[in-house]
Amino acid sequence: MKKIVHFRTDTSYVSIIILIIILVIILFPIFSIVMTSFQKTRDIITYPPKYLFSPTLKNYIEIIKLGLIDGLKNSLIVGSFTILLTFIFGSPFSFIISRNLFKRKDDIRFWILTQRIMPPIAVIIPFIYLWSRVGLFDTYIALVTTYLTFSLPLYIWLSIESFKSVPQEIEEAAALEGCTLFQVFAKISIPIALPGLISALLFTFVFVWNEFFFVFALSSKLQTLPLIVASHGQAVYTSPWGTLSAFTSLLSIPPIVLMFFFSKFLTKYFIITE
Amino acid sequence: MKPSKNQQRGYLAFFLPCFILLLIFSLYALFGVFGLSFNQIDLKYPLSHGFTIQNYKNLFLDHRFWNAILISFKWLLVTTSGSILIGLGIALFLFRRFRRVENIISVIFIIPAILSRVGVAQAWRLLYRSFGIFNYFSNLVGLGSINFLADPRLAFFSVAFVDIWQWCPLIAFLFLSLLNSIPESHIEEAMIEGANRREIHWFITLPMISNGALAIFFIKFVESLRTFDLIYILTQGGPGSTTETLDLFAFYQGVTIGGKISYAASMSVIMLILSLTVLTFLWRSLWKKLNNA
Repeated sequence: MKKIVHFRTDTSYVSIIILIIILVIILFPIFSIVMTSFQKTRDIITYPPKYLFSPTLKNYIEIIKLGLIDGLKNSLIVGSFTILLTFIFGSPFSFIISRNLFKRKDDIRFWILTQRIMPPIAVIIPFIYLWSRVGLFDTYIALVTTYLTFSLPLYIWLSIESFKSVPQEIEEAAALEGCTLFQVFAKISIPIALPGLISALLFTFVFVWNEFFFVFALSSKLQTLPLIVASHGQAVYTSPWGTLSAFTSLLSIPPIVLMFFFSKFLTKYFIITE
Repeated sequence: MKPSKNQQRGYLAFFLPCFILLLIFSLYALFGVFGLSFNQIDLKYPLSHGFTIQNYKNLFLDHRFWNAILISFKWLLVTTSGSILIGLGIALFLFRRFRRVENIISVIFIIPAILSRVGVAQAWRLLYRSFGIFNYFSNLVGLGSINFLADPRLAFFSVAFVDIWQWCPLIAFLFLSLLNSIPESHIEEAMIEGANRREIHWFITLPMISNGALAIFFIKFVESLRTFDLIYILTQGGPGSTTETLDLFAFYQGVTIGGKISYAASMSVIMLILSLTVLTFLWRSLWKKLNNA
């Protein structure tokens, strides 16, 4: 009987081969760019493309001279300030929304979502005008403020679920003991929801880290890493592939590393479960 | 229990700062873009000329604008349907086949989607270049050299393919988790009845994940509206204007070349209205389905 009940787990050779092909297609572009970043220029421009070569760190040393440190610094400053402000403003808000305190909380959630789905060009045009009029082009303030327009809705959307997972009985008990709302929030809800909140923040950070369009529109001298990667490739006739792929590889490391912290949490939040 | 006056004040203190901030952002963006679009403001000479609908008149006659609308629609259609169909196909293929390694597969499947689009675009430029691996193989099989990004017939699909490459693994992962969330008993019953893999998917699993599928469609649709990074790096809208979507055209007009920010704003308004109409419609049907379920 048991044998029939089991779905045919036909892990045949054919399906293993198909799986391997799929994985190769997914990983090959990433592999190529990382590989190229360890190649000498003469190995990059040979034809046919070379896959056996003596690796070098030359490209990584060279990009230090090409503004890597500045780019990293700017990316980290903009990223950490954006995330800090997102946490400070967003957490209390989504805490309140996650409780049944407002009749119109569903409307507010939809409104949060609409902020996330605004076409970026429609958001950025008024901000380009604003920052150029008040002379804040090329500043951290302009970047962080503009980044908040997408990081806040994203973080709120994600963290509502985390706050929902906090048992309300504990909160109510604490309130009966005489805790103020802020004490309940800071000493009970935040610590319990923390794993989810950190995942949400890291996820939001990846979006901020990767952001290119806004910084491209609002900065020229103040370059974050994505802007450097974009302009470095575009600058000359033949792209400097060695240094460019070194930049690109470094840009890709944080998202991949951080993903391991939030990969479990992805499904829960991508699929809107109510 | 009704909250006291004090408590209510506490709620507001939690709620209002962020609410006001978001309200300012969205009202400023909305009024800003509408206001600019009914004016003739130039970034270099930021003088107001008073209310005018000249921008919209110009848009109507601008064939590059109509071209951009067309390309944008084509982009939405190709990338959304492409990545969802392929993603679903992969998920159905993986379903219950590789239980033991599913976790590793999932992690690999998420990677492309979380990489920055700028980086992804550069990686693909490396593959597409004339001395790249793709051209090596096309020469090998006798197709000759292919200009993936410079050939007007190919450029659009070369770029769209990168977008599909980036998103269909994540979509496959999401579909797979949806499929895995279906209770075993449903599938087992069907198997006792003697249904095969295809019948089980058609009659049982696919209908059960239709809500989730709608949500995935929604996510991908929103994501497909963000075209700028990928296209800008890969083709900059070219060759000619064969890959020039609405946001690229608006950006060029408003910032890079012209500084005609009002003209760009009027295009953004059109884009805003079009996308919000579709998305509201989608959201309504999603919400209704979820509440009926």
